[in-house]
Amino acid sequence: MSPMGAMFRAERVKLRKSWPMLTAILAPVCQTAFLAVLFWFSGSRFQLFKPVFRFWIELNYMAWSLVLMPVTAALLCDLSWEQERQAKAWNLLLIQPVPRRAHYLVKCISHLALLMLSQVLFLLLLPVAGGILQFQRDLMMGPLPLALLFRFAAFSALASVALVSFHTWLSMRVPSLWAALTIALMGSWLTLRWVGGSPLIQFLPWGLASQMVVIFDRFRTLPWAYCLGSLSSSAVLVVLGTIDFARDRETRA
Amino acid sequence: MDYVISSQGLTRRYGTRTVVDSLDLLVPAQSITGFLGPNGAGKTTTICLLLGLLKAQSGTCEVLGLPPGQSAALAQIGALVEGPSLYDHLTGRENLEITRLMRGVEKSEVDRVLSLVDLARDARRPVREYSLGMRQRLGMALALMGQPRLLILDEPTNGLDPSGILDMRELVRNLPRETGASVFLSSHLLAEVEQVAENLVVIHKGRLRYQGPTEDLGSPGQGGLVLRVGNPGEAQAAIMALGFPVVMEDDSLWVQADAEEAPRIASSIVGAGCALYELAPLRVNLETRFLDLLVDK
Repeated sequence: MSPMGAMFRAERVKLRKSWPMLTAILAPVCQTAFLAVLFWFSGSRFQLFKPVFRFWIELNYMAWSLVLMPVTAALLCDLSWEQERQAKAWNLLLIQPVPRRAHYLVKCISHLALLMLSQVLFLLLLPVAGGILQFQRDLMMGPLPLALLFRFAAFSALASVALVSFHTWLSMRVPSLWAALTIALMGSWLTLRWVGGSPLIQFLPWGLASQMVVIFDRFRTLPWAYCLGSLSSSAVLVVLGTIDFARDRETRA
Repeated sequence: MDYVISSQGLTRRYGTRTVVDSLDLLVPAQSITGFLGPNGAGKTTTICLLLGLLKAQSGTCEVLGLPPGQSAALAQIGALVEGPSLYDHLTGRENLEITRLMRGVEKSEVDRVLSLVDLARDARRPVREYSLGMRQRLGMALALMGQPRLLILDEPTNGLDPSGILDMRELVRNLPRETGASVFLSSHLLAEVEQVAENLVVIHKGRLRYQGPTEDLGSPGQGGLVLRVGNPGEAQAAIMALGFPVVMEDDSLWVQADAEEAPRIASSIVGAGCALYELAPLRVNLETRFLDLLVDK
């Protein structure tokens, strides 16, 4: 097994029964359940947004991208670093025969994998919950827009890369859950105000996720071209974070 | 002689405070070396420098012939620094599994170290349920993973009860013989290391105060001779006639003289008609010598 492969397996062991894993599972469940209850008891009011199944997916993905996904990314990253701090793990991890930069890279990719797990769960839960909502006849849900669902899932998966690369670095540097959550929500809120304005927005960690707001404007489509900018800035963040971690060893000793 | 750790002028400062001051270390291979010093002497900082967890501001050091922090050296070092690093939500076995994967050693190694520290029965319990002693033993098991050539243990008996200390002492004592490993064992308690360590390094306020064999720390010679005689008064007069200062206490006499003078002193006492029951070099108590080293001169 390659050293990186072994480190990923070690990281997987650490995530068993852990808070980051629980967060990754609970986040999509909580959001889907909350909105499903809201839809179920709203009666015929959502008929205004026919076809309601489409609206169900649009509303879920907008809430996910603007609120839940940035919050989940912040939580996952902070809890994961905190787990290492509480275990005083760096005294042990940094004396293992693996390059220092590998520790950061593995952390970053593990955080991304956790957020992807969240998104896969979300992708599975939406049609299931939508199917249950079809039993509420007043809603007139209509058919499942499968292509739309996959399009949104792909866009939100790409948007999560920048969020994870930013929060991995932030939580390594600033060990505070409240700071991470505040920055996540403030960043999302501020970026939301610039949607439709400067294209430079794509380079911000929340830039791509906040574009999800355009989905309610039926004449506009998701700005896929922005993905390249977002992924490029993510790559820069990962490289800078790796250099920072490998260079400044004493912050973790 | 082979050395597993060597340093020249190793210095580390925090701001204006010098924590490790021009430390010249030589730690012999395949032996147990005690690293002694009171709390705050700079032991943990020195260990962090040796492991590459901290950078030295000046001086050089080599561990297993390589600069600190090199992967090739780290692969042969096991360490326990500032208490065990454990994930409380995982079991003992899972904690070991993480280190096993990172060191790339066989799966059977987990069982080997678990039985070495006598934790095999509790390996499947979450670490949060472990007692302090069990945590310390698990930390030791993590350090032993992969049969390292050098073990660096920072106060491994901290928080252990007397029987735990005894177990840990036995474990450490047998390591060089059973595995060929060298042990560098830090402690602030002389009593703890003198029983296992063949060599001692004593530091105080970051500076080296002693380095050498344990028995030489309480070496004879400087203390003079101690005598037990039948008639102390007469014996004292006979010795003083030879020109040596003598102090009498009960039926014993302390004579300030080199060990080579023992035959002359003995014959003068016997010649004066006194019974001589005992004549021996005065062995300075190890503890006293250790405490002497910690006095600022």
